[in-house]
Amino acid sequence: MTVMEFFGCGLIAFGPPFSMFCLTICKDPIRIIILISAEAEAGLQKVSEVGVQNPVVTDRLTLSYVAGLGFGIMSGAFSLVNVLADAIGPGTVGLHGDSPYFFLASAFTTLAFILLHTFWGIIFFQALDMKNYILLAYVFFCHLSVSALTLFNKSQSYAASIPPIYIITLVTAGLAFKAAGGSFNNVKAACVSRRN
Amino acid sequence: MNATHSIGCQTNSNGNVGIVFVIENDDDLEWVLHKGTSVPYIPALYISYFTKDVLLKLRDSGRISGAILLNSKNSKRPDLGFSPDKTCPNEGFGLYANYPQYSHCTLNEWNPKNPVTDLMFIDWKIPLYLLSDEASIRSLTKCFDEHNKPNGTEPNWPLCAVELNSRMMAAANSPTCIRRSHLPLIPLANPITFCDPISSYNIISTLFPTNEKMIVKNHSLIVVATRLDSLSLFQKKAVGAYSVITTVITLLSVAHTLAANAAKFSKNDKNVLFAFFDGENWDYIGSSRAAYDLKHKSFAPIQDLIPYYKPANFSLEHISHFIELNQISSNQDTIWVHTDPISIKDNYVNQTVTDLIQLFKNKSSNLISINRTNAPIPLPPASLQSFLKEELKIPGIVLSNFEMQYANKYFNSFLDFETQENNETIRFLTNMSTLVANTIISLIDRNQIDVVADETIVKELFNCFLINTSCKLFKELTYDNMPQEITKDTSTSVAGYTNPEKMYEMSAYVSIVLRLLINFTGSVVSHSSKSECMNLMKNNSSFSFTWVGSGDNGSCISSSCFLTAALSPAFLNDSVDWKTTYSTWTESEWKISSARLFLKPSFAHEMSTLFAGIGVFLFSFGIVYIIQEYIIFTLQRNPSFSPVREPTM
Repeated sequence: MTVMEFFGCGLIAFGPPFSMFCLTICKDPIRIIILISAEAEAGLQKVSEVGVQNPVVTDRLTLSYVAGLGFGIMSGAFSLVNVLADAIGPGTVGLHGDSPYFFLASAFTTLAFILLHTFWGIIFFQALDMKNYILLAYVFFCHLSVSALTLFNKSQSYAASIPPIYIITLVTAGLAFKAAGGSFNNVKAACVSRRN
Repeated sequence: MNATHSIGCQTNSNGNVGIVFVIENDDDLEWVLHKGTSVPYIPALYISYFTKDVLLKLRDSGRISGAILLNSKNSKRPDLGFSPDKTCPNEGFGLYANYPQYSHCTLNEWNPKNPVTDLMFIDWKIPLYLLSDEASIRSLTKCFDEHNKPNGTEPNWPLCAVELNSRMMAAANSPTCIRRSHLPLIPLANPITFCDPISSYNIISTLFPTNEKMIVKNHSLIVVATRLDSLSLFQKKAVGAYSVITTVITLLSVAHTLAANAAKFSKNDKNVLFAFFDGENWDYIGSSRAAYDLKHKSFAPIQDLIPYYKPANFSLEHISHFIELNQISSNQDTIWVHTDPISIKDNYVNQTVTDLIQLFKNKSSNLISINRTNAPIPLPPASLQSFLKEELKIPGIVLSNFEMQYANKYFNSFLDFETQENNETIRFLTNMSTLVANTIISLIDRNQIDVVADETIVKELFNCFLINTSCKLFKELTYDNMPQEITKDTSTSVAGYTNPEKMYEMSAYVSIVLRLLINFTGSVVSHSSKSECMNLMKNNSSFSFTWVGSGDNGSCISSSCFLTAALSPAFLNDSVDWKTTYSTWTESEWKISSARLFLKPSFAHEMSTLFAGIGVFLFSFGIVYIIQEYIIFTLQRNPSFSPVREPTM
């Protein structure tokens, strides 16, 4: 009877990546290929898009974003699929005194990791591009610390793991935005143009 | 299922889920029946509440999706009895079906009324489970105490729930499901079947060997018979200790005693036929088939199992006496003799029966008192009825430990078991086999020879069947690729095995009794290797040869034992006559039963998770749209992230 829990958790973890896919990726077949297999870059260059503005394979920003999101979705799918498979059964967690929020916590952690992988992808590409070793180190240590934070989940201290993970996600999102060439001015400009 | 009804328990295809509720008193029952709001429940009842009335009330309330009986192995058996069979077992079948003055137990109901009478024959439509493992009972009650126990008010979610799964494939009744099984579908390697006729094997042996060419005289065959099977509401829980096992032990011991002394008897035309009928609780499947075959002169070993042995072609006229042992166990050292009021109207039958009873009385030597039941009372449910139905001129008696009502309060239930060596019963069974053996000897041989049954054999059989199945006697039987573990399951219930792929699947219990009978009545062919034994088997049709042992180590036993089909005559033709007077019981195909215990989240919790998911998804869609449309747009005008490589076009 917890089919509802299954869909709820599935939408939490994969809803945002799905929106990103729908709005930014699926309009371009080459992006879909890169999403699934980022290593196809060299081959794709040979059949590359003639006359297309901002071709993916040459636009490092798009490439890093698409590849990062692809990696994130795959890692998320692997980490959540077992939990989701159990969620579809008739029961929920808690028979041996476990937290009933296990499914929700798993879903939100997975969402954070999918987003983080996307941002890390963008930052990492730019860091290597610019030989910016500080950013490179940031990605490494950020990944390490977020992964370490999930160890709190084992003792069901979800309050100790999920808020910090989301704070780190927000910071990383900012860094990725900056790496992609954005700045506060862009946001301001966007707000202005929206009002007009 | 039979021609008109289906009985028993079942669940939906994905199992039935319900909130666990351990019922300990009437208030708990009231809570499940009326007060509680978290329906459906699956009540867990101790045996005092596991009664027909309570269960029907629960089922008819529509508020339960199953029920569990909590009964650990050491708990006390109810004083009021526990027998889920009918008060008139096999009613409407057998000899008295066409005699309204006797049918449906008009004169006497054999199985005393008890709290669970008829439980076996109700179409429950919900699952009923038995939990006897202490650890499982503890985890279930703990889960209930921690999560579900109401303190006057409804307990908080999440609640402890259980899922029971035992899907039955067939529906309605035997004609419907047999017709569905025979629908012209695409021919598959494994044809789809929904139900199989209940069937098994009758185990037969003769005291003196016979062969095909032998001419058997009329009234020369003494049949000593018993039933093999018992019942239980719960799968694999039919021990049937005092319902059948003690009687089977007695007959085995009689066969052993007679065979051991066979050389002493002067040769004459008489012979003894030992018969163990199976499926008797399902409207006399085994005996009705045997009587049918004897009437039609087709009583022969099953070809595919015993291809070479050809015993004499027996028929109903050959029977001189029919002695049936039915529920033999000590009841104040008294044995009651039941006779049939219809057949003794014939002078010959009456005289033979009276003589036979007198002979029993003479031979009983004060150890056992033999009493005849009062005249108008008909036979109890017995295999003899099937024989009399085909031929009224058979002089027959039924020996049992009860007069008007079964002495066994747990007849055909999972509680009919024994946990310790019962020396009184063992001695009684030994005396009883001595008595039956000596009576039979008097019938076949004018020279009076007195024999004594071996008490150690009876004791060993009692211990092996009822107390510890991993005993020496049973271990010796595990030849022929029969794994030793299999002897641990001595469940006496029968099942549907008639499907072509499952044909010749034999329950461990039937196989054990057959092997014991071979050992007890057969003789070892000296200095015979396995291959010589196989050759003997192929070239000699007057004995049944069995290689007893593993591999080449063992001995060759020649006996007169064989198996006949215990499949109701109703199923012999391709088109079944459903108005037949023979058993029409079939068993539905089923999947392995299972039960799972878990916490069930409240509906509100489930809804909030779902809406959280939908909310996150819609919110993210909006955010991504805004970023895509307004912010990325501004980014692309001043890219700091320039391509490092030009396209190689």
